[in-house]
Amino acid sequence: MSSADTEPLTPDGVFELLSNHRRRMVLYYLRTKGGSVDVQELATEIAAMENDVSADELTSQQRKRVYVSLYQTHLPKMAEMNTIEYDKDSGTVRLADRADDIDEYLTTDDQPTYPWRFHYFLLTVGGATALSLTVLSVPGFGAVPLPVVGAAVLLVFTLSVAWQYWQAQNRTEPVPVELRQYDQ
Amino acid sequence: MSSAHEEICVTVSETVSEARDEPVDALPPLSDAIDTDGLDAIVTGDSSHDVTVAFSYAGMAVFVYADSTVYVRPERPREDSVPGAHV
Repeated sequence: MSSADTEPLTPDGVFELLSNHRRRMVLYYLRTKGGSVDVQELATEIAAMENDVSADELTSQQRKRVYVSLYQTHLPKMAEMNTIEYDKDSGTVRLADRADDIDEYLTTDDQPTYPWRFHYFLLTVGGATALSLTVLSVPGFGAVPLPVVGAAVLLVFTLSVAWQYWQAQNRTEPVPVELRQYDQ
Repeated sequence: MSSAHEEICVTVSETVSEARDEPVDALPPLSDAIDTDGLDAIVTGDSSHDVTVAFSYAGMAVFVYADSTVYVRPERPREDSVPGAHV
């Protein structure tokens, strides 16, 4: 059993885990929140997402049903698969390292964005060509001094990096596809 | 509420908790007694499926019918009055 704990989750295990929307929500919430989360809080957040109301508009019945299903079925199962650490005494859960195995089965959020690898490849080829032609004083290129060409190439790279950084900082994270049924 | 059949495990837990007069938190995990995903899949709420699932859980004999009806009775007649009896 202890050797099985250190092995990565099997695909069957991952899909079994992900086959239930409440378990997906548990993974999502724990990942978004980070660290230890109280089971009561987890139940409240999930019930709010499912019923599409804010946490204080939930009826105690709505909250309790989610709590019982987490407490009685989903959390023990996830703990047994070592994807979460479930501390029954303190009533808290946190993601275990093994939860990272699941990530490769899920969509990443940087899908149809700008092809930066291609962008830098072209810049490198273009910059190297311009510099070589200048150094070799190929007719038509000798007119521009080398430092100017060098500075121009550097500037283009700098602007690209700045743009890419800005884009990464300002990306709004969409609701992941595995939870989309609750997105309004 | 949301998907009715998803809640069968909750119904089982609540029924047993009521029958034993103990809070749900005091019961052992239902997932130790039965594959709860399997139970969800069998109990479709469609009464034309003639399926009954019987298992023991927290000292109770539990019967779940395809139409989501849950029936529980003490597993052994009387003896297990010990609180938190293990199965």
